[in-house]
Amino acid sequence: MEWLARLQSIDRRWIYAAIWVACALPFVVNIKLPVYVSPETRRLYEFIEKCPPGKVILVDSAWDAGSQGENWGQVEVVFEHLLRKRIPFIITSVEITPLGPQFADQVIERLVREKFPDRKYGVDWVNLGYTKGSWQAMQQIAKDIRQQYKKDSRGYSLDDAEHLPLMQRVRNIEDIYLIYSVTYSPLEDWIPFIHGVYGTPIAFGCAGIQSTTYYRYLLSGQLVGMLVGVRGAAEYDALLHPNLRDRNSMGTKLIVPQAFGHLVIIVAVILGNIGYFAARRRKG
Amino acid sequence: MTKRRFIALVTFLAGLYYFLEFVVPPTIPWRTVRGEVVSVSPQSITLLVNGQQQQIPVEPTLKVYRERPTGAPESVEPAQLRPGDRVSAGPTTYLSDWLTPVNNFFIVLGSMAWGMGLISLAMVHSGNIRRRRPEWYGSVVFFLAVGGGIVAGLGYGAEGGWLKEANDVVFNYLLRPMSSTVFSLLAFHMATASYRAFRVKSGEAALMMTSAFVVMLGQIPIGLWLTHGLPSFLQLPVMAQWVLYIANSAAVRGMWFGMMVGAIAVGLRFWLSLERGAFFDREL
Repeated sequence: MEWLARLQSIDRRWIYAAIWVACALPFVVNIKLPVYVSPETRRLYEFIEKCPPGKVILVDSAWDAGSQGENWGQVEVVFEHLLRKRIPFIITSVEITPLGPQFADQVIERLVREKFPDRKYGVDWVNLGYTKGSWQAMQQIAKDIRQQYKKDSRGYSLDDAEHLPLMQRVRNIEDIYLIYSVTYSPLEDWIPFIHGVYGTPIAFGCAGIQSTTYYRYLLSGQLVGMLVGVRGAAEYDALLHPNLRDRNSMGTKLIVPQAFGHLVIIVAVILGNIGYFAARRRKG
Repeated sequence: MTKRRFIALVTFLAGLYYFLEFVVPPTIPWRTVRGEVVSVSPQSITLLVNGQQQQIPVEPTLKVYRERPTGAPESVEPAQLRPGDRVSAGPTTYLSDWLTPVNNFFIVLGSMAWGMGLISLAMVHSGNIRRRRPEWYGSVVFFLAVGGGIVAGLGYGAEGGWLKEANDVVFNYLLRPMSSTVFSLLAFHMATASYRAFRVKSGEAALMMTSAFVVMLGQIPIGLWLTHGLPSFLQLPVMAQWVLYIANSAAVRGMWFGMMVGAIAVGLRFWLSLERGAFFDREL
């Protein structure tokens, strides 16, 4: 029993090592795991599938390096879906981080280079860049997008029909089919100020730890869908690519280290409790 | 005292504007006419109201709102109207006309807060350098980082040249890995913290651990693999969904209800400058 009791005081460096090995191993050995597609992911996928012609999707990509592990995959799969179906989209980065537009550009550049070389900036997508002002900016985007953005992130005027033909048919919220906000913790202001006023559907992509506060909006119908952490990205990739071998998005890659990391934590907690009960029994 | 009263007055008026803009209709209700547009001329708009035609003279104070499928009305100029549009027209109450300038004012104010933060940091760090306080060289690094960041930021969107390279080095090769590294440390801390703290010392703790295991395993492919042979309601991903959608949402709704009631009370205290704390009691 003595050795069992010692399980509750394992040197933390062993746990660090176990987490490190669990997270690093999938990068050395190529492993792909099948995933269960949750209802929130499926609802977003199906909603985008039904996008009518002439409408655009607004992607508020307000994340940066701190949360790229979860958010990169979430925008990558949705951008791939939009580029594949040729649904035009506008990228903004409202309030949270000025680095958001740069990261979105990187994700799209890679997709265009590797999978969709015929898609063109200004026609298939436009990056409007960062803007300050949370709900005030949202209100103005909804009323008249040109009140909030005079130029895109490359410096072209929104009225420049030669470089930004897409923006010539986007005036206000009427032209937007869906707002998909991706960041560590999306601004809930999208719900009262946009969905509540105009009825425009909203979807979130958020970190797993933040998702618990947003599930209530799925139940009430105020969110049409949500991608939760790496899992959401991997699930969306599974809907895009039913064949496991075709999946190569960031979400599909990162769900494996996350799975092993979760296992290490669960095993560590179980071991700690075995040690705790053994120690209690020894004391009588 | 005068400054304090001035701040209280400005705070009250700013809050009052948004409150009134929300509750007061954009046009005078008893002089507003709703109907379908029959024809439009520079002098008047002819509307079909309850089967009868009614002429509305176009005056400088006239505001016209076109009804949209999504529900929220869109403010339009009379010349933009087309026969068949459903509109409401009446003399303006002026409040909504000022929404864009007031929103812009607050967005600019918010941006200025960033600048003030930078100035404040610069003052603290320049003081450290002048007085050669301990570790003053860290303050030199601060100025170098701010200067480098500003210069590198100018390279965003550049096609080539040294500015683009500086942007790549600072944002892609320094900031990005550093931010990711800091965030990824959380995984190690969470693993050891849960190992040390998570002990089944009571029935409630056992319930919490069970639900934590269900959600953690349900979020990863291993949960599906472990239970895929069981009936669907016993599969871990399905059970995790139930915990997140039902149990979690109920708890979060209760919490948020309480928090929002508190937020209304605190908001009112701020608005009416009743909030008293260490800072607010001081003469400004």
